[in-house]
Amino acid sequence: MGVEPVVKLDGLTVRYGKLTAVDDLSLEVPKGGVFALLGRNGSGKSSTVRCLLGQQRPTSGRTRILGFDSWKKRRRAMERVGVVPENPDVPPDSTADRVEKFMARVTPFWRSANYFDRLESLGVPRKQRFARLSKGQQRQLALALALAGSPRLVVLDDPTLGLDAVARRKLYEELVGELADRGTTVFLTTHDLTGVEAIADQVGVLHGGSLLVDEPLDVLKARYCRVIWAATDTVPRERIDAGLQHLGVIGRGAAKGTNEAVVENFSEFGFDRFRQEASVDVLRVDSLSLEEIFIALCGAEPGGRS
Amino acid sequence: MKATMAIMAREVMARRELLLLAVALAIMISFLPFLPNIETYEATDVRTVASGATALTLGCLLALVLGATVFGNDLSEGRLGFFFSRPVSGLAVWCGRVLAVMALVWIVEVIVLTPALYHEGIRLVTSSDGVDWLTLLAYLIAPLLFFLMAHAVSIIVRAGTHWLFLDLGGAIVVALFVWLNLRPMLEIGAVIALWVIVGSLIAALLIALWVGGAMGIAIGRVDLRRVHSAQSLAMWSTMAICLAAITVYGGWLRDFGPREFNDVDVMTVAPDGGWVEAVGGAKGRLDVKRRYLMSTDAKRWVPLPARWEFLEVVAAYSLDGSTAVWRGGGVGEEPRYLWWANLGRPDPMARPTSLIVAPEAAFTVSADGARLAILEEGTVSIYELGEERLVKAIRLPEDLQRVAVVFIDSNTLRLFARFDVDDAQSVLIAEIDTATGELARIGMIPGLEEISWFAVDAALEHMVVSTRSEGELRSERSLYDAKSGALVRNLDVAGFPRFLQDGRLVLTSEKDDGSITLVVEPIEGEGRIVHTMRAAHGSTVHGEAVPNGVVVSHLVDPSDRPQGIRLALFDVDTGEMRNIGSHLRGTVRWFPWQTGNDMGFFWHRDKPAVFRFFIDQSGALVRWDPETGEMMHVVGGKK
Repeated sequence: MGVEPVVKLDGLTVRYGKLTAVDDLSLEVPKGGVFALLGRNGSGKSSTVRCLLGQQRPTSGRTRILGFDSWKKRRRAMERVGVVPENPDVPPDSTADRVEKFMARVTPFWRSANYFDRLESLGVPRKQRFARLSKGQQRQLALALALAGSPRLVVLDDPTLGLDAVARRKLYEELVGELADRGTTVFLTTHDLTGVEAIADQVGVLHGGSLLVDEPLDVLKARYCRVIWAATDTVPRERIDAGLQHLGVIGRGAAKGTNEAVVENFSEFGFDRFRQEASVDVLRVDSLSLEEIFIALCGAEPGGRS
Repeated sequence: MKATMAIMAREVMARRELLLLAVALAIMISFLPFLPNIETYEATDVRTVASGATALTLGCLLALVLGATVFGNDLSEGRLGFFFSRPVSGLAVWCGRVLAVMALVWIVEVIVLTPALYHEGIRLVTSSDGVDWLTLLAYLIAPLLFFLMAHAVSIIVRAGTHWLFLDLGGAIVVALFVWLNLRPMLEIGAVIALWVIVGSLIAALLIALWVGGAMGIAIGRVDLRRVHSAQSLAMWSTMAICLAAITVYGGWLRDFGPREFNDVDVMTVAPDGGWVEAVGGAKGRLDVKRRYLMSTDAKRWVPLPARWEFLEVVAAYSLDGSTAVWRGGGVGEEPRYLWWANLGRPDPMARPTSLIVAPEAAFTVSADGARLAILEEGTVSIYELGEERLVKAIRLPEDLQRVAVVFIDSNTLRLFARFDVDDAQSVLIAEIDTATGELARIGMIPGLEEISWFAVDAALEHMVVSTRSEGELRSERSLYDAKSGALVRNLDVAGFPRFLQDGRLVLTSEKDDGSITLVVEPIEGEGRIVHTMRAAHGSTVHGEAVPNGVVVSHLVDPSDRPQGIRLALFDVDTGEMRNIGSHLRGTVRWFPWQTGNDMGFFWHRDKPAVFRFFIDQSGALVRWDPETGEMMHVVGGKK
């Protein structure tokens, strides 16, 4: 019997009238590590997160957190979950001190010292009303609230929205440094692909409500490459295309004196077959950044792949 | 519970400025009596009125504003997720926030009421009857109702989903049901039952709004549209269940037959004594009273409409007792349909007519029940009752007042009316030919002072007119010929006169020592008999239960009252008294056959059986058998 995943989505479907926001989404996030759910605006990320947190009932399918059905057993599930929402939702009239009093009463594993230490280290004023804090301070407060409950899962819904580059970097460093050490699982959605590339262990890409990709980031990056070869008139295009099929070509391009193809199934074996069949002078094979992979996957119409 | 309390504490702290506002208002109210123009009033009164009005107004206003914003704003701005990201249930979120707001509102009310409470103390919410629940509930329940309603409307308006149609439809259906539940109680005039139903409806509304709000938040959570759908479904389902329960309860309150009567009142008795118009309540039915036309064998009955004023007479009978006519139910000044029943049938049924009359219209039925005359707004309309065919409508002269009509036969009506010439009042006696519609004057009683009432005997041969001279308390009664209006003689006894079956008059009066003088005299000629009954305060002479024997309620000793009154049969010729029974509450509430708009009425040819009905101490209708002297139970009475 395997270990229960921290997050499990099973056939999650969310519809708003005739619009399908999330279509039969299934994924599992194991204990520890950072899972990044990526997608363009309107791809279904927020609906997925709301369902995952038990704030919205799925049209069909199930979501589980720490083994609890997150709709039916939301209260139990949320005992060990920290949440940083897309827009910090702390009551605007509350101060950090007053929120702490409330949290201490409702959160079973609350650690006040951790909360206040974090606020102090980040310079977030404790007596100021939430509405009067800067955007960055509001996010830091939200993060402090999420982490002080000794969570086993932290869900961050686009946590870097509105943060400057330094703050973003700091946030990610903390996540990796602190949570990874504790074995806390992180489930985050973000548009900051550069930032997340440095910390994500596993990546899921949603597009048009469907999950295009769900795999470890290193595996994903190994699969997606750009193959560049010298332009030639002697080899028929058909032969090159046939060779590229072994690598799972998803895009072609040309530059001055060179041709290139973006492939999604790069492997040593496939690359050898390509070279043998196409007989072209391969100049180099470049790995793609997460952002490039994302654009390759989601750059066009729903269904992805330009 | 812990989470609810935590949320409640947080919400109270977040809005604690309201308490400062309340303190400021209370201080202002304390100084109000010292303001110019107000200082002339009693300071305590000024503070009490100002505190009460301000507390209630502020409480309701706060409830409205907070109801519309506490959840609505957070849902619109996506802030409710703060609570739903924590290990707290949706119900805790709802209960915590609502209770916090209501606690604040109630505390604000108490603070604002402090100036009045300081002077009045607990008297502010008490009356001579104990706790003034209406005032107390106004302070406690009205803000809660306003809060819940404002919340529900706020969600409906903000969400703007198609569930709005369910809300609108639900509101219309509820309004309809409320009216359907209240209207019968208004018709009946059952004030306690009406308040119980009103209270139940308010409670139902509170429960439905509370359940709707709670389910909306618990199920819809952070999604405004789903909050609306869950709220609408839960609210209207709860309302439907509550309304169904209230409707069933209201129906049960009203649905009982004569056999369930405990206290019975008999309003009219048919001329042959076979049917009575009985009003009664039943156990557990609060103050609801039902009215039935009931055969005195208690095996057949016809439901009659209830009346706000339950002592009002409803039924009019034909002289042969075969037909009864009555006005249908209605509220206030609504016109009513006329109904009738053929009491001669083995299984008589109430039959509606298409004839509509005003509540104050008078009507009379011909001796055989075939024709009906309606007197309304100066017009006498004669109908064939079975066919509802208008035979004739006669417009009466406009100067006639206190008009009363009665059928002599199917084609002729006798009319008695008062008309004024200068300062004197006169009685017009006329006959109406129903075929031609002609009104022919046949007699007149001129030059009377203020007429109190007039009464005509069953044979329409003689009438008694009671007049009162200006400035005098004592009224005078005179006997007239009921055709020509000629004075027969003045009656020197002040009591209410009755005609015996043999045509003689019975007159009674009570003397200062409590004794009763009973005079029996023929209309004309000699033969006057005077009886003096021993001191019996409150004694009354009733109808003729056996030939020349009238019923006397004979209360010899007031200490007997808890035991009921004693009834005796008084022989008007010999003065002998025969005991009918004790432990009786009295005779039936028999009213003469009233057909006039005002004070004109007629004695019909009642059989002695009519005067053998009594109400016993248990509230039951009983019938006395003069042969055996036994009292036979007819209906009702506390078991």
